[in-house]
Amino acid sequence: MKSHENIIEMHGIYKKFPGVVAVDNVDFNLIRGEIHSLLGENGAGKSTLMKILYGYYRPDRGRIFVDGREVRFRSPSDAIKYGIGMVFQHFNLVDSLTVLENIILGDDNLGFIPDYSSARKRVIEIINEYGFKLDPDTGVGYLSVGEKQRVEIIKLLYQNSRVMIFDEPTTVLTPAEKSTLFNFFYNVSNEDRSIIFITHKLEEAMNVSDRITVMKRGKVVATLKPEETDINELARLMVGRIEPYEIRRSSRRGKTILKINGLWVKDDLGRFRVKGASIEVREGEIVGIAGVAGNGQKELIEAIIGIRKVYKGSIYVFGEDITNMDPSNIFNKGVIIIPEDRNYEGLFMDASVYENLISRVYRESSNKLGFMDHDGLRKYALKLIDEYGIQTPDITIPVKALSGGNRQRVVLAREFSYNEDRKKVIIAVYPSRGLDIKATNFVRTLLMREREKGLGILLVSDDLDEVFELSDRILVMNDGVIIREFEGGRVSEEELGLAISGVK
Amino acid sequence: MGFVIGVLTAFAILMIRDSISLMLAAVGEAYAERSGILNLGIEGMIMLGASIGFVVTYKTGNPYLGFISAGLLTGLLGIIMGIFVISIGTQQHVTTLGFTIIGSGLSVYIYRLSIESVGGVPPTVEGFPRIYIPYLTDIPVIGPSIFGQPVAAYVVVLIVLFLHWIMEYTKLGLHIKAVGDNPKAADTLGVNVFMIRYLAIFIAASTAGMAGAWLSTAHSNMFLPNMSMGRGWIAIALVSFGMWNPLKIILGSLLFGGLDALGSVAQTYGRNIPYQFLQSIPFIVTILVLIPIARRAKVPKALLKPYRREEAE
Amino acid sequence: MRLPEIIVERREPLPHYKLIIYYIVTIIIGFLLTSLATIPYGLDPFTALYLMLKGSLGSKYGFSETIVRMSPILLTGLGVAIAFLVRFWNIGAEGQLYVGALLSALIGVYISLPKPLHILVASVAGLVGGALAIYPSIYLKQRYGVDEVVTTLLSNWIYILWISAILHFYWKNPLTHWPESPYIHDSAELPRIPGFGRMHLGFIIGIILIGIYYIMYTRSKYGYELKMIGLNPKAAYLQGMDVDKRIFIAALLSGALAGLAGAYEVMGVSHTIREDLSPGYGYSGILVATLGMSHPIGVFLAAFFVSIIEIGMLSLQRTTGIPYPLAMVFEGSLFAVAALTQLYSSYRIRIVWRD
Ligand SMILES: Nc1ncnc2c1ncn2[C@@H]1O[C@H](COP(=O)(O)OP(=O)(O)O)[C@@H](O)[C@H]1O
Ligand SMILES: [Mg+2]
Repeated sequence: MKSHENIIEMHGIYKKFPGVVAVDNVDFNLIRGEIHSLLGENGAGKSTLMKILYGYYRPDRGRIFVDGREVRFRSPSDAIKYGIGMVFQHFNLVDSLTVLENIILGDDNLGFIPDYSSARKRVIEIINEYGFKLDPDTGVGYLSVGEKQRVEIIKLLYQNSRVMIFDEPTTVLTPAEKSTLFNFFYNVSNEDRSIIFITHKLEEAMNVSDRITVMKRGKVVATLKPEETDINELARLMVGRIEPYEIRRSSRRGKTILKINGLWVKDDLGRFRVKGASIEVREGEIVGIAGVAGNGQKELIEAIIGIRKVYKGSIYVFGEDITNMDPSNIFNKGVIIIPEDRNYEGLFMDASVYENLISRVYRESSNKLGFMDHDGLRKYALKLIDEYGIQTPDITIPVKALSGGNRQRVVLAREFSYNEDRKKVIIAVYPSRGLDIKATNFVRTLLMREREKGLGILLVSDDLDEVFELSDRILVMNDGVIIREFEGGRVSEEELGLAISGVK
Repeated sequence: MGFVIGVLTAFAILMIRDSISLMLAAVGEAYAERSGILNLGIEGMIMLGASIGFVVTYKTGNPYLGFISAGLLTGLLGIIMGIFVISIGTQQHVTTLGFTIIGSGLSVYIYRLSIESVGGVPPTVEGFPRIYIPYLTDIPVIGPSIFGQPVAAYVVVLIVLFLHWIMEYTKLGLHIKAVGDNPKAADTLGVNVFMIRYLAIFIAASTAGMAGAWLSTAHSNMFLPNMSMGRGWIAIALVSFGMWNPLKIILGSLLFGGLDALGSVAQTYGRNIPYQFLQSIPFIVTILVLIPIARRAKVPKALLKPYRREEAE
Repeated sequence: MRLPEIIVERREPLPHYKLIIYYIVTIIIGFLLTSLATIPYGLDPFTALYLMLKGSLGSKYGFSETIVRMSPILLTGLGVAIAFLVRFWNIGAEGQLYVGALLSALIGVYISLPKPLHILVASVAGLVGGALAIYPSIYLKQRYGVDEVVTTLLSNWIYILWISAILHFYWKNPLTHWPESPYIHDSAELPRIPGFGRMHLGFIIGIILIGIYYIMYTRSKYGYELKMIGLNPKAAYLQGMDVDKRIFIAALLSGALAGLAGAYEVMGVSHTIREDLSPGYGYSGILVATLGMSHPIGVFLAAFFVSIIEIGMLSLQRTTGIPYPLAMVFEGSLFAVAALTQLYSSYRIRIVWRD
């Protein structure tokens, strides 16, 4: 039947959040059995559109049809009944429950006293059919990122979803896991199920999709077939005209600034996560650490900046031992951090832009009695706002009212401007995560500028492209040690990908 | 010998009397906390329940009615609190502390409104009939004192065991735990986060109310302002002590009931120790037992965090 | 069936003046709801309000009683406010007040000194008493991670029971044989403010301390640090602030100020320590800090407001028989009001009917 070829049709969907129209009059349709990529940069509105389809958000306007019949979802449970399932960008699993409990949580057919044995049987069937390796009775808290994603997928299969939405599923995966996931896409699409694959990676969209819908600033700008287009056109559609930033390598490398020797660090549960890692960063270079998250990067960084105890080994800045010093001392030695989670580690979200910008300098501008020079500080803050192009109506508004890109600018402005002459090495952790292209380019350009000034930069990122483009040297971290080192620009992305997956 | 028997009997009676109200309130509190709501209102809710339970029993002569009304009406106060902390998502510490004060204020207001006290002597009520469990009552010494309790005692034990069963073995229990650990995950699977939390808070409030009714109609047969004497706060501590597990909380309550009883017994037999020192022992012990478990406690992850679907991550 | 649904959504931050208007409107709604409880006593809410204001502000006596009430509440409120600023939930001001009162009574009874010095020493004793009383809670929190809500709360009972034991068994007043301490020396009594009944110097000192707090809050780096630590301790730590030490000091100060409130009740009002020295000044302090959102001016206004309610309700009880605990109901609702207002600043709350 022709009219039912489209399993999903969305018409004129509109959704506004305070201050931003996230989805602006969007039409979208999904054909039975296709793999449909939803492509767009961060903030384009992809997740919002799909959360609307999944009944998680209510649209302000617009109509949704499933199999040609209009539906009105009040919550995800309605969407699930229509066979729509979604894996969110950040996993939605209850860590304190088991895999099985997580899967059956929303199952309405299970009675008040759940019949675990029949549920377990079905879950095991699914696990075997798709070749997932997973024990349904493990606590989800103990699973790796890849395994957690498998649990999410099993949830969809258990719900018997005919439409499976995956929101940026590849960012957290190793290249090997990625290809397993794509194979899974092919398999289920052959079972007449449809896949919506959200991504901002052009190549991935090109490689796996039957069709690609490109979103930009809340609008759909095109729906195309991969064979009718190419990466350049997609890029242009996706970001419009944006000055590309110029990739440059280090011009001069100087003395060793940061030297890490055989470092051992434990995590909160007392397990070693860094197991003898040694790293060197020299003046005027960016050293990228690539690797799947959870291989000790977090503990390594925390040890360097002094918020986690070093068990064995040592850390030097210009030959001076900073091992196990407290964070403010380490900072005074010239170690600057751009934290992974800017909202909760870098910023005081409820404090004003002004209060956030001065949290390094306020001490120097206070007199002996502790009175702050607010006039001087205000001038300083205004200067930073100007220099770093922070867009804010006023310095007294809370920083949480700013966009992600502007928040990151606040962090960078504060950290980079303080103590210009003492600053020596920058630890940048996922510095462009969640930012749109413009803000990403700003951050990267800034890092390169600091490198030109002769600083050393240790860059940790799960975005291979970022590590690839910026680094003069790339270290691959696996299970707490550096397993490979590459010269930047002299390694292919494939080679790097293999190294990360642990293939030597 | 007679002396020892006397002491033991007194101890057993007191221990049960004290632990009944504690276990009921604490298991209810565990429901609220597991669903993500810290209910500091419990102390006031116990007092409100004590007042309502007493007033209804006094007016109708029916302690069962008093018990049930205390549970339902205090549960209603819990629902009102829920509008704030669940639907609107106000700060839980502040809001629920306010409800403790509302509860204790209301308790005295309702009492004074409904009962004219004659000449300063607080009136009393009849209370529940006792049930003597056959055979067990025949156990020498402690038999009659343990197995000859007011009806409400058995009801409470059944309630807490039932609540234990719900939490550990049913889908509702699974939902409560999920909602308190990761409401978003539960929501995306179609679990109604708000409904579950309202239910949990209703349970917490109404058990506190019934615990209060126990105090005023079975424990002491009269109502006094502030008669809860900090039991609500101890119940909150008991929840962490019992690691949010109803069964462990019940055991913990027995322990604390015993402690309380020890104080009262010592007070009767050791007249030269100021009774206030003995009364303070449960509070001190409560603090002490929290020390070793504080850092190991697996606090529900979403505790104190309001859930709003449309909140950016 | 159509059901109401409460929608809470983010919005651009509200300007301050609007927030204050919202605040006041919400307080009024809270008052009107509570005052429904006066109807069984044949009193409509507005008459009740009139009588309350008349009782607390309408006469010189009423006004001075309001100020007498306000003196300790200002201090406990200030103390709790400082702790709340760094999100240390000190719910134990009541117990700290009693310990402060005990120590200053000891100094007042057993030591003789010239007047100003004696007052000074007894005040310091109050400060020390309050600080000692809160210290275990701080220690347990910072060393073992024990939740301070529970420990400060339970310590109220412990301290008050102990003091009751002391007064009943070891330190009775030889003159009255009541469970109260002997009277303190005249030299330790706070001077009264002439012409204002029982109003005493403690109020002036409270105002001065609020002033100091105001300067610290708005102009000094300590105020800035405390605010930032309260908002995000992890970020503050990464910015090089000495988080634990600042929290320690703020919390200790909090206890000390509550202790001072107790000392001044002894030195300025009762001249002895009794079991019923405080009708809940510590709890009122929590309300004052919350309602005033830890801001110096907010704390001052809230302390005044709460005192008006309490004295007003007492007078209402005397004149109409409406039970005083109704004041507690209103005060409890003010916590919810404050919590709502905190939310208003960045959220909009709407009710929609949906089917
Ligand atoms: N819950 C929310 N509240 C407020 N703004 C939001 C929310 N979710 C998304 N936004 C905003 O809507 C826009 C689109 O976001 P999103 O759909 O997440 O984009 P994408 O998934 O394409 O990165 C962004 O500007 C984002 O900041
Ligand atoms: Mg997204």
